Amino acid sequence: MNAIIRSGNVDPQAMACDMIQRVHNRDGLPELYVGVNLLIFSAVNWFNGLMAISVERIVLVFGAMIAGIVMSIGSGWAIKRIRSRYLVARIGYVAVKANRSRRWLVIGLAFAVAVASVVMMRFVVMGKVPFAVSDRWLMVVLGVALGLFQPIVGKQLRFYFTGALTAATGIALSFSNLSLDFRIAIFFDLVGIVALVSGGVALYRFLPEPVDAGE
Amino acid sequence: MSAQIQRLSGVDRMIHEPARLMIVALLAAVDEADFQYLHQATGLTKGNLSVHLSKLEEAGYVAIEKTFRGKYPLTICHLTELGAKALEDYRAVMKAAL
Repeated sequence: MNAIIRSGNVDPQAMACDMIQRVHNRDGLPELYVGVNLLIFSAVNWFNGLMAISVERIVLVFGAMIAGIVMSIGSGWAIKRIRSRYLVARIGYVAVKANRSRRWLVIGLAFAVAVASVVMMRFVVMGKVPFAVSDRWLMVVLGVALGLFQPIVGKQLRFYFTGALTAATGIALSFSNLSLDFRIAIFFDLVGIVALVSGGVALYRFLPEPVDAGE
Repeated sequence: MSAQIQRLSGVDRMIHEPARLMIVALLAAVDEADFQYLHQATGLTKGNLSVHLSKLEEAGYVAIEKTFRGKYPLTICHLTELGAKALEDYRAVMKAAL
């Protein structure tokens, strides 16, 4: 009943998706995972910004990128493994319907967005901006887009706070005179730390909840 | 009264009850889920959830299987074909009426 009222959905399918999403984010594990991933992607920008071109830099950048991509693709599997091993008594067991075509569509879209972002950033850095978009606007768009995305996907109250912090971080960094590599690195660092703190608090509050068999 | 609204009187009351609608809708979206997961997702009390699951099982809409994962006892629930058809019919009736 509560779930129906909270979700505001009367369509059973939409209602089910809403409930699944809520439970998925309840223990904070997805946020912890995203936080670590953002710090890895931030490392790519730090290596690019701080190190001179060398074999070490190429190895570190590619290593971090591959680690980030592998973690992104394996996120569902990893979270499921951790839950089934350590949290099954608290969060319960669920076997989600396999939807391979949708999974590949999501991976494809994420890849397309990542490639488009990199191309866009290169244009901005080289001063060949294709539209009337400056690197300052890039930070604003990045912050606001990620900030809006969080409560829509997260379906929990705390995502409104983390979303607002993300948007504020993007807007604040747009006023900075640092290079784009550093601004993006700082942005990913701060958003990653916010995700780690938020996920950590959610997990800390979730773990002591009593477990009883009462079925 | 239009024919579409009249169809509402024939709506499946087993599914129409909000708590059971939540359970059936959730089970339709997954392959299977255990009692604890349903409890977390729906926000129903364990006693309430247990009663509604029993009613759905009696109606043949949900199949319940008791098993173990390691030491942890699992009460696995999944929607039967009859349950899936009942939900589909319910959606069609509600969509036509609303």
